[in-house]
Amino acid sequence: MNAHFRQGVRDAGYTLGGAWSIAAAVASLLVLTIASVLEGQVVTTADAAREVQLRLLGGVVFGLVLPLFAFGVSARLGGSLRELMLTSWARYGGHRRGYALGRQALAAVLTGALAGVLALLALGLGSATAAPGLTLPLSLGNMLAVVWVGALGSVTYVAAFAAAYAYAGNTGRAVFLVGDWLLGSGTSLLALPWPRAHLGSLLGAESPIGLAPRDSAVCLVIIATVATVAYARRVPR
Amino acid sequence: MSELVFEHVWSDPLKDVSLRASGGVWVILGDESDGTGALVELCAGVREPRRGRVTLGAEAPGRSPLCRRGIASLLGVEAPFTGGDVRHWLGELSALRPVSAATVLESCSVSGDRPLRSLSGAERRELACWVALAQADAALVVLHDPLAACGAGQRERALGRIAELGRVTTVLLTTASVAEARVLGGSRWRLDRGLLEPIADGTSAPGAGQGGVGQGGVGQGGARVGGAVAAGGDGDEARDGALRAAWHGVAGALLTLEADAPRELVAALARHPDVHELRYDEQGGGRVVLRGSDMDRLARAVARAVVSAGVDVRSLRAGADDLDALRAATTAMNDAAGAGYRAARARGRAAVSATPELGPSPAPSPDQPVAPTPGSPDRAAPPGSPERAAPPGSPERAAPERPEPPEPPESNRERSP
Repeated sequence: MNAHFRQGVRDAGYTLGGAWSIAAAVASLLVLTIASVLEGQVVTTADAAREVQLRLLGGVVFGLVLPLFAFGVSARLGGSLRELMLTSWARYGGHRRGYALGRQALAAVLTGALAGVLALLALGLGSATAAPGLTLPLSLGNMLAVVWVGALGSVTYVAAFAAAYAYAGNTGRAVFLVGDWLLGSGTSLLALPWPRAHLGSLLGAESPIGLAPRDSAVCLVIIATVATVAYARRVPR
Repeated sequence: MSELVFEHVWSDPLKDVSLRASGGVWVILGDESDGTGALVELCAGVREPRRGRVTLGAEAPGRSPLCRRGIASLLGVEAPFTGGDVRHWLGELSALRPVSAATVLESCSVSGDRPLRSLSGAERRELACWVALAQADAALVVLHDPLAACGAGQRERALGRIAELGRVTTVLLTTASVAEARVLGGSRWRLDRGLLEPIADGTSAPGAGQGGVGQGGVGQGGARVGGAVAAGGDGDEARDGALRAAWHGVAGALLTLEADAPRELVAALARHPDVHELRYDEQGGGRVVLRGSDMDRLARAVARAVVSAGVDVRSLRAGADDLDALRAATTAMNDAAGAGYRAARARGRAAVSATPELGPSPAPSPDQPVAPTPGSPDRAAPPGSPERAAPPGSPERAAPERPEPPEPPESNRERSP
């Protein structure tokens, strides 16, 4: 890891601040808890229990908390081109692209960690609120799967929000969030460029244009890569 | 020594600025609204021009981190820092450029243990100023109002350091104060509403115009001012003198006084016949600028007004050290030059029509170019240049506006959030 990237990570930590990060994480946890309690009340059959667990994972953690948390982190970090140009490190001779990518890396790690923890909690809460055998068991395989999906989703969202903000400012970022919500919920070709559609597919929901879960994972990687490259190209050296 | 080159740079509010600076101290007199901040940011590589090119050596500061490492800069507004304390930040900085934390902290009044987030805007500027002045091997030192950034006790030290740096590298400074520009010395330029022009005060240090490009092309900046003076004819020497006087802060009978509650004093002065011009800004700390034809009479007028108004005067000095005074003198000089140019053109026309051998010649239309007369600015201005289309002092030149160029291609446009 070069010094510019490291400095970006460090400055992003200062910008986000411990208090903000903890408050956002607690709020996310609260949302998940409330949703779990509400959903737990309607579990009567084995199928319903399974559906509730999937709704908690796909709907609340990856569908609501993850995009909103990534949006919040991106908004908190800022990082407009003007800010990046004036940043002390870059101004005194640091490499702006490395620095900017370092900032986004911390945002992705933070979002990924929260998504992973919340996904595990959703898995655990689902198991706890239903009778044994009705839901996905809290096995190592399932735990790794949701953590992996959470990490992939986080990287994709953070990269996409960063690119949207770099090219179109706050409006671009908000438009991406709304577009992901509206178009990413479908299964047509229009759903293809939105992370929500592929995250749903990875969790067993219907996939866009009938893609296999593995293809959806590849699509997420492609979206994250394209967004990162576009963002890096937008930032001058 | 790396040469700083501005090639037809447009970046709000700069308009078609061209400059070539290599070695020595270059002082640009202008205010923030004239574009001094933008000029410094372009040099420091924290802003990219909307059109044109800025290079130091062969590289663009905005696009080359390596090039930026050689630029010691002080911006008009220093962005807030993220975290840590001053000493830690200076330590990090030393990874990028040879800056000794001890040297900076010795000169700067900001303590090394202060958290960066607790620094005020003025303290950030002071710190940045000393970081810039501490860098010995800088290829370019570019400072926005450095003397304002330093405390009163650090002024002499900063001036000494600027002079030292000016001997080994290019130092470009901007200031809104005529007095400070005089103190800083070096080659002097004036940035007026985005237009950069050399100051023709006759006292520029060696190196003034050394490689200077001026506005719109090599040599035109100097030629325009010189041409304008030459075209004025009788009386222009006096006006040129007014420009020099404004530069030296002794523009004829000009007095600046400061008082705590000067409204009554201003009223008394306004009634006095020896006071020809009065400027008073209520928000400006009770500063009153007076102009008159004669210094003695003006001083007596002030004395009478002070007695009649019963106001205590905090300070009284001759000269205004005022950018506006310099601008006014320059505008007056340009106006006079324009009038002279038009008179010379009219005389030329009259002479041509009065020559019997040539017969009646059709009168040239207003847009038709006229043959240059000796001493007219046309001699200096190439065909198609703004000087040829609109002579100095003519209404077209009253406001230094240039037509906006066509939209640049996407890749060349300044990126803004």
